[in-house]
Amino acid sequence: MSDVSNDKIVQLRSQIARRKRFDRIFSSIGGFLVVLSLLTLGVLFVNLVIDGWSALTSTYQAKADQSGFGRREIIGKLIQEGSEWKLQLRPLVLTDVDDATLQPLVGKEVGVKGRMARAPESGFDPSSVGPIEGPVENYDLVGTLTRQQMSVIDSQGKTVQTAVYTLKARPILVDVSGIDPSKLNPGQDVSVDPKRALSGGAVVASNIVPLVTKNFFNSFPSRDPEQAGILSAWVGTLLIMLVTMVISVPLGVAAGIYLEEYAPKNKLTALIEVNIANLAGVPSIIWGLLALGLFVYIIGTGRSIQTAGLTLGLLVLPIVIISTREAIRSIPSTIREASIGLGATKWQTVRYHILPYSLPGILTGSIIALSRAIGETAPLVTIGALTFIAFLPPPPVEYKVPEAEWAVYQEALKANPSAPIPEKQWHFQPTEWLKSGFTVLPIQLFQWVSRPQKEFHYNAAAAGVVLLALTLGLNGTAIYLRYRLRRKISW
Amino acid sequence: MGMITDSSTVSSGSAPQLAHPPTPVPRISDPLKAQVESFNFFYANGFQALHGINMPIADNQVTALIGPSGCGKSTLLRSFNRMHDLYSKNRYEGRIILLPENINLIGPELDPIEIRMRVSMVFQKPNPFPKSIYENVAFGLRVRGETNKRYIDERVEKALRGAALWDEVKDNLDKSGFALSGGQQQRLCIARALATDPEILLFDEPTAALDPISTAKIEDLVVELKKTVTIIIVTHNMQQAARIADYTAFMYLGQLVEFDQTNQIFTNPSNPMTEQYLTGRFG
Repeated sequence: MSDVSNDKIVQLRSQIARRKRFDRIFSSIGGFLVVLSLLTLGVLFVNLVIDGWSALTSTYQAKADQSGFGRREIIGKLIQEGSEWKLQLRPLVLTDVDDATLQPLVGKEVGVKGRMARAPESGFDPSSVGPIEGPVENYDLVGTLTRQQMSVIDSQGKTVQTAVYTLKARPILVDVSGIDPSKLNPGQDVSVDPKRALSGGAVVASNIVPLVTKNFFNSFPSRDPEQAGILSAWVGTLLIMLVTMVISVPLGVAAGIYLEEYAPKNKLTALIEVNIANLAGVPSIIWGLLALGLFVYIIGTGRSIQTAGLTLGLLVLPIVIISTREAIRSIPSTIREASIGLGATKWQTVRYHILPYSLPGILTGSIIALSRAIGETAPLVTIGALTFIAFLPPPPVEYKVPEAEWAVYQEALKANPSAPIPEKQWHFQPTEWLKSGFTVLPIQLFQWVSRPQKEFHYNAAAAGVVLLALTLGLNGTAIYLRYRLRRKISW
Repeated sequence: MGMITDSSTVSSGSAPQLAHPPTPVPRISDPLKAQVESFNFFYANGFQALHGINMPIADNQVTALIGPSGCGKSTLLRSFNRMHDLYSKNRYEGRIILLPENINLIGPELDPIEIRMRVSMVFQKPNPFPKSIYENVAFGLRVRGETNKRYIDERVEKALRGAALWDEVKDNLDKSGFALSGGQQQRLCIARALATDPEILLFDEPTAALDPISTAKIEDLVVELKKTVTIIIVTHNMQQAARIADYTAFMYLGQLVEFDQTNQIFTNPSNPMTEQYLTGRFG
């Protein structure tokens, strides 16, 4: 090889290196930004999960009939011994006790006189704790004491060591003579409403209600952050998504098919096309205003699930139309020509070819549209979503006492305490739930975030995790469906 | 038949110029299946793609349309089953008579769907539907409202045999049409067109996307098929026209330059422009 050609090669290589510099710069900046955004996303997500984890996983017990606990109610496990019913109490925390006097009694049988504080979480307020002297009946509770050294933060903010005493009481006798026998199930956690106390801690029960374990997902919102949950919010979200889907998908797909396959290509359709693209970008609160004016005030659908569904349905309609048109456009015209060329009508072509082949795209677009709708807050606030809602929409079929008869019964009860309870009947109300008030996850989340207590912020984080999981789930479904359906179709 | 305005340009090898004089209707002795009369075609943007075409289509014969790209041969072919109606504002003028009923194929009063049920088409790129082989062939019957399973089975087999594909696919009728090779896909498209017993079969460069062996199979098939159906084929390949066509039309710039029996056109063209095209001096 001569020197001349060597020079040429050196020149060439340096020129190539110069030109490739931009590739290097661009790819390193791009890679850095991708890593940065992934990191941010990861931190955000981990933070959210850590904050919300306790709220997501914690459980508590509540009365099955959804009434609150009374001051004197006693919580425990029902046990049957022969014909007698007893209540095994939970270990009771003794409050305001003197460490010096109690320490010698640890591990021994003690008798306690005192008053049961509000159940189930709070403690037992003893007036006296001491070794058993005389008949057991003189004591309100009998049991063994345990002592635990715990560090707590006192009112000055200092950590101090303190002794905590718990009493593992013997089962107390419950007089169940006035109770419906069907409510007595051995081994069940119950709340006993005492009519009066007998000696030896025994009580006469006026009512026994079973307890259920509640968690974040099956609890209504509450003033108590520990017991606040997202039941009404996720039910509201799912029902509104159902209405949104029923409104937007058939309308959007039909509109997309019409515009793509049937409508003449002229100025009017071009104008419509531009408008649909613009509508997809209209701020969502504007849709809220529209819905408030049109649905709530003029048509009168109320501040209800149906209004919310209609609003979000309209909001995502342009997205569904656009994605339908995109999906249809991706079908090669040769397929359309082949079908038409065989003598198929337009509808037959749409029915047997256009729709099946564009289905993956349509499904993906619709699900993406729904996952946008699921996070919308502004239009729903505008039409009057509730922020605190402790009921569920009425189910389509319900077995209950008719409301009118219930009112009559309530009146009769004032005069005659033993008035007969009216009979339950089957109610078919398939559209009642549409007229119900509602809240949704993002609104519930916002409500919690705006509360000053830190515990509510953990609830908000937990709701955020649920919302995120729903959105990711929807998008994941879209990706999976597209993958599954596209595999069968190729040109 | 056609007219050359400036013979000196032609002999110098550059693209010859054509005026638009009325071409006389070529006469042939074979019985006719269709007759194109003073046919003009305008695309939606106003461009006139065809000028005063007069051409007979012989019954149960193969008629080939040849000519350089953009000469209007595909446009003419697609007029036979009103494919242009798919895109609005395309305009036909003149007549294409379908014999023996003597109806005008391009008459606005005639439903294009009726035409397409009698005149089927096979496209340049194999375009099977992304469905099973069986469903591909059965589609034409299904759109006609046919639901009798046994009848459809029979017709599918007959069409696949007709397209010389039966032996290759008879055990895999449920497989996707896309699982086949390019040549098989094209024969599947022919079977699909045959399933409804068309009177005329249009081929738009059916072998342009195929290898030589697949091409040979399709060509054999075309010759075989003309026993039962009238065939019009657009081709870029002049040897192909010479091999399979009974009649050949040479088109240029939207005009029919020469129409004659194939051996006549290839051995003794009456128009010098045809000869120049056939010898590869332009096009």
